[in-house]
Amino acid sequence: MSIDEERQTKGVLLCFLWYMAISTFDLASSAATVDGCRTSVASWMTAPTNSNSFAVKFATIPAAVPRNQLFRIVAWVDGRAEVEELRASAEMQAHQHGMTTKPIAQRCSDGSFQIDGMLFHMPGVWTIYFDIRSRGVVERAQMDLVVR
Amino acid sequence: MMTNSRIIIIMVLSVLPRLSHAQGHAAAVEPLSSDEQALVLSLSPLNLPSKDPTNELSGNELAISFGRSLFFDKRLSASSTQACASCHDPTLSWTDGKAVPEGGSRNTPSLWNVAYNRWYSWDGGADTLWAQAIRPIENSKELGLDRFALAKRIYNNNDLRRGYETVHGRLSEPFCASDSATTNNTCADPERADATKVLVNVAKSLAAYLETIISTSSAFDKFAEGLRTGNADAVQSYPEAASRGLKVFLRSNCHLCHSGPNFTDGEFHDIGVYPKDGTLPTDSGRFEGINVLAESEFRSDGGHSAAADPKLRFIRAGPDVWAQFKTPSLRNVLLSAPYMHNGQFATIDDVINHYSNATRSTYRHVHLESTVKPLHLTSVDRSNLIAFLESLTDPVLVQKGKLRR
Repeated sequence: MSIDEERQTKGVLLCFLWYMAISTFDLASSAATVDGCRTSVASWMTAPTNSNSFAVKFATIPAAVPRNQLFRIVAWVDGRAEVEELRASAEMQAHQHGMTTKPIAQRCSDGSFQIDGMLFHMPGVWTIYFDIRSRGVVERAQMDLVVR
Repeated sequence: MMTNSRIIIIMVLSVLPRLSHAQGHAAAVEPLSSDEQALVLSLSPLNLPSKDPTNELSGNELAISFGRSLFFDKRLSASSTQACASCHDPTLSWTDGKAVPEGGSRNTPSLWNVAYNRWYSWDGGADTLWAQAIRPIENSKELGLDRFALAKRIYNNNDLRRGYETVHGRLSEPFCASDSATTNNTCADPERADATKVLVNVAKSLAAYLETIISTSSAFDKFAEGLRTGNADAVQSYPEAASRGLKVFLRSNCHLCHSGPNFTDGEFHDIGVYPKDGTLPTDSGRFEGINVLAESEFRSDGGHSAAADPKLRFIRAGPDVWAQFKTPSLRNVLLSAPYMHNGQFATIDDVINHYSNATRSTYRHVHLESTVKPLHLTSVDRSNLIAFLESLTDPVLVQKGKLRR
């Protein structure tokens, strides 16, 4: 095998490994894909990320966040780059604590995200955080919601 | 002489307004604001609970009847000297009236309205009522009857076997069974599965009965209903001191945790109830409760459950849940002293003192509920607050003389 052939083989191998890594990531992030999340939403709230690279459009289901009951968020991200991951969390800044739950985000077939396991167990002002990972960088969008 | 009389009269006159204020007659109670009214209406009525989807026997009359008989039956303990009712005494508002039971470290919670709970025990170590019912049966510090001995106990007692088979069908003779807890590790898997099935069935019958221990009626509920329907008589018949106490309750943000019609959010908080000697808390509360739940063979997402409860998917563990305990309901609260997870407060006055005097300097933990701040309640506030809490007592219970007050 010549040096060029060897380099070519190594290149193919590296490409293959890179492809496998990407495929594995895609499999992991899309394994629980759900259908048609966005169609279930009539109106959206918008929260820009802190650097304004992205805008998270989201809706709660039901629209009026219920106190102390699990609810769902459907979110999609408007931005210049592919979103690798979206996570949601929330806290009551006045209470210095967050939720008693850890929400689970799933990618939807229409490109949006469905987030289950949100629970605002106390009345008051809750700040929702959306953490978006894109190109290895995490950006945060946030918005306050009031629960009565 | 005249001068002395005048002084006395002036002194008496200066004290009278305070006395009348203390008795709640100083001025009419300020009407509730629209926000306060909304909060009141969020606290009542307490509708009947829906059936437990994880328990196929929920609402089953036969199971309720069998569960009731088991609850009071001392044969459900290894020594045949203790029943569930020994600690959850209905004449003591389903508690034992002690700070903590002998050999235990946590206060025995009342069973009122357990059907509404999201989590069970102070630490949430069980996610269903029937799974919670299993814990004291096998716990060596409580009833201490392992599943093999339980199966044998039921099989060998005609009345128990008849009751069991009426609900759960034929009970095969348990071959691997003795009253010794040491048999646990010597039984083969099929026999263990049979005994486990008996344990689960017993617990589900107990749970079906426990779901019926419900209290939804109180003076506060009548007041709230009057407010909802515009019934002025119902509103005005609410004791004035309770009305003032209601305002203290709302103003003090008690409703943030004691929310909803069962006066609890059913979740976990650190409100700074730490050892009196100033040491750090040793009971990890929710922190260990999550571990217990994770390792439990009786979770609602396991094979013994009739349905998985979605809440299990979203449990969040972390160091901040250390020493958090479940918010107790306030319905019938004056009947269930002592208070708090460790029974640290003997009276409701002690509880109110805790909230009234709490200072940041006493807090040595990292993640307490930061809304717990000293309320600096006056003696009038305190007595009115207790009047409000008393209005959450089910009058039927008191009239029947069933419960000690």
